[in-house]
Amino acid sequence: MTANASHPNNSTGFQLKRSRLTLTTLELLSLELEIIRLQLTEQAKLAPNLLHDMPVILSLEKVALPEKTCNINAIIHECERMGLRIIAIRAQAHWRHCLKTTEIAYLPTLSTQSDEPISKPQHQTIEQTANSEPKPIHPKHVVVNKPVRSGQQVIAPEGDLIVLAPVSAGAELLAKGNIHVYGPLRGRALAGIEGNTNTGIFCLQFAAELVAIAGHYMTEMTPFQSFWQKGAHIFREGENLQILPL
Amino acid sequence: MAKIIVVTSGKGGVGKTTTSAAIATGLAMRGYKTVVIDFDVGLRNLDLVMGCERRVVYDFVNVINEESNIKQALIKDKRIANLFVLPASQTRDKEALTKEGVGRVLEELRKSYDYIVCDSPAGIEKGALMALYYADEAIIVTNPEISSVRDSDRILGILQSKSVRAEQDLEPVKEYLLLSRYDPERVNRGEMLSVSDVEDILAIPLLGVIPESKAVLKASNQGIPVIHDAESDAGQAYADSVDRFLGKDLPHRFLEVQKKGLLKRMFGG
Repeated sequence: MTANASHPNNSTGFQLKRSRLTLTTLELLSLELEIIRLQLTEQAKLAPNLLHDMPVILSLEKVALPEKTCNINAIIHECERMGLRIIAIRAQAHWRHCLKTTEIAYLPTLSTQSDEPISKPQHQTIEQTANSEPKPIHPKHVVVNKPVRSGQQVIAPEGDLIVLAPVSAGAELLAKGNIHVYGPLRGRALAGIEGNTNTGIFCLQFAAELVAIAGHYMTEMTPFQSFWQKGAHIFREGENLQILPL
Repeated sequence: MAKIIVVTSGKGGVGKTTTSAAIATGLAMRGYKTVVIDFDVGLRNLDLVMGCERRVVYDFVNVINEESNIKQALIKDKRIANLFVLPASQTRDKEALTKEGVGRVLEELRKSYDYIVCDSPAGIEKGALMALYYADEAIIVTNPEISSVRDSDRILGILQSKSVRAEQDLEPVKEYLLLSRYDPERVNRGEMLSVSDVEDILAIPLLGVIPESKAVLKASNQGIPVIHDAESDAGQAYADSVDRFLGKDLPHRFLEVQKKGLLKRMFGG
């Protein structure tokens, strides 16, 4: 493939592309130069090649801005002496003034980053997923840790339903997403109630009265007999419900 | 401050009133000042089982409607000091039980008693809901058969969602299982659910197993709570249950088929 083939317009010299990559962050917990130097030396002893030419983001999110002089330049110098390549400094906005002298790119903290509108969101879908920090449990999931008794109904209208206790015969579980049951499942379980056929029912002790995924249900469990009282994953394959051991 | 215990089951005829009478009597026998209240307005039975039907003048509904005071309505037990019965009205229906009224009566009783035992009617309607609403602890009476177990399961769900403790997000109502009319021989023949089957489904601590016994019917008809019959297996099983309720760790008895001796076989037992 030639350059021309990939860039049909010859007047274009470059292209700005948004990309995601995993980078190591050196998160400072102290601004004491001696402590940092000692730890870096220790680290270098443990893995001599690890730090060499390693691109890192220096994070100041966990340390407070010192009131008087800021020794950030000394710290940067120390890191670089150990072989690290600091490509950006991430810190809260009030650090910016102090960081001017470093001549290293500034990155806002993750929380402020999402607050600040990014100009010209051309690749919106990518930007939305660009935040690669691990996310907490989806707030739309419903977690139940008490037995679900006969006549009770538990609904997870937006996400998954997770039950950590027994589900009695005559009880009903409904979820837009998946259903997970860690006690015996003796009642009814209906996953994908809004039509998502990619949902499933996961249970450690399968003894359900009825299982349904996206509207397709089963009450006669004879085909699933070999999974009775055992761990099972029920999912939809075309028009049929299928079962697999868990 | 008294503890409020509800004796409930969902299903009828499993032994709620027998149990209420036995447990209340057992608590009083052990020195606790106890009152047992009949919530089965319109189908009054507790007074019969307690043997005080001829002494009913005022009842629970009269007290709720402030037509009499509590002292006038309480019937002192003839056999045990410390034991009182608050009978239900036979001429009214369950609508007479209001949240405020029941709450007011229980609040007043709480001040001077150690235990308040609420004998719930069957079902999950007003009467049963009122009996369990203010409960601190619940004794779920279950027979070893699937319909009774399912109804008990239903009532457990209601306890955890419609009691004061559930509504105000307090510590949940403490639940105990009391398995009554247990017949080990039929369990062995596979005709009856076993203790572990029921425990497995309901998943609450077992307070006691009361064996199927002729002593229970005899006691009801005589108006003497079966716990007085210390010779009978049912009486002993109830006595054990009361002790367990009060924190004693006793092994469960009457779970196996009792072998009859030669004399018993000849003369009946």
